[in-house]
Amino acid sequence: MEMNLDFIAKACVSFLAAAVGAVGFALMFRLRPRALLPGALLGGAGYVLYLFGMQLSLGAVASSLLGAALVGVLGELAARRMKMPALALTTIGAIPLVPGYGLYQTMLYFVEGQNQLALATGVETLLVAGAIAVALGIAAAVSRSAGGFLHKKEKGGDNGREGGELGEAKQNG
Amino acid sequence: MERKRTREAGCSRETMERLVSLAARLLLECGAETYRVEETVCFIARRLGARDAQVLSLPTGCLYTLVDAEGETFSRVVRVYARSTNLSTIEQVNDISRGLVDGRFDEGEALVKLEALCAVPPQPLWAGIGASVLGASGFAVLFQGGWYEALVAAVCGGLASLLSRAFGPALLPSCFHLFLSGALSAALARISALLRPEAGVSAIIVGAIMPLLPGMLITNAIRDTVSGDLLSGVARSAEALIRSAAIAAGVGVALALWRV
Repeated sequence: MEMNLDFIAKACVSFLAAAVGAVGFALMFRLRPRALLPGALLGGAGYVLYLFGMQLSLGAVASSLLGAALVGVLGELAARRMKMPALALTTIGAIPLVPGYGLYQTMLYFVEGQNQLALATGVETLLVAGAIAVALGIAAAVSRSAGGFLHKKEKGGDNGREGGELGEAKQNG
Repeated sequence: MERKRTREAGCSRETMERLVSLAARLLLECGAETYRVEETVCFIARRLGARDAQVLSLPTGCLYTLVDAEGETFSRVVRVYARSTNLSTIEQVNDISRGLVDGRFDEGEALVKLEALCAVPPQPLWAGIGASVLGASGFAVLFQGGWYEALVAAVCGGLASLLSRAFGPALLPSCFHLFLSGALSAALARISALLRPEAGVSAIIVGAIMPLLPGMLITNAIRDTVSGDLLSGVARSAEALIRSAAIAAGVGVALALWRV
């Protein structure tokens, strides 16, 4: 029980911290202001799911995969609803998960001459980055093929130009 | 449908070339994915009546060959020297190319809109510093830091952002300011630990260097590789490695000097 309470407290703090960090990155990458709040929420939600995975001792790779999958799915849905490319939202949402720390640690071990540790950390970093990329990629691919299908169906009419997009947004939102 | 076709045939080669090159350059400079650059070039060229379009896009530039409606072939190279991440410009170029393909506006309007995007002023100094401060303090807390660590990391983040402005890519190779920022963050973290011995030095350092790290670059590198853009994937990985090596070397040098 105590363990659970600890975890919940940690999750809340991490959610806020990840959201603040994501907003910082969003400003740095010049995301449009209207996408700031969804980006921040995505960043927090993805990181909390990652923490949950780590708590269940799934390991960093599987936990990152889970977190990034959540970011990917929610990001694609939110992007449909807001009619903007999903890339912007999923990029910001995945920032707290990106293994920048592992990359830094790898190079630090190399600088210190601890090559074995460096290689081990480096391989894990690459796997985590791969897991995030795969999760986001699958979400994007599914959304794209589903969107194309809906688009074609809607486009049967003569004025399919606007109708297709609107119909797509309605179906998903 | 008929109206569309006559307009396609009427599009001049210069217009096609300017539109395609401008869109490719904007996307590359703002850090768009490889497939997006190639698709945009192909879509725009086909919409303007090209019979065939072959594109090869790399992080440092883009080569394309188009066959126009009269069957004439022409090739161009778009070389890009400075790259950064600008999500709103990617979004807007995407909107413009979609609008062109959907027929929402014609090539003249698209060209005007793209040229307006080129003229957008760079981010003001305070916004860059503010973003860096927010990012650094957020990540210091994420890596088990308290308010003190977040505060010091925020100062380091702001200084790093200033440094990257002062030593722009025109003056020095871009990894030089990363080296300096890494060294500065490690030194400040150590000094702050003198004032408050229980401070977590590693939380400060990691928080401060997080905004500098090429985490997004390496994720995009893997995404490129997985989707078959092998050259771009390898090139982006190399860039990510060099950047993180520069930061780690800065931190390493500062920590090593501290011990002496």
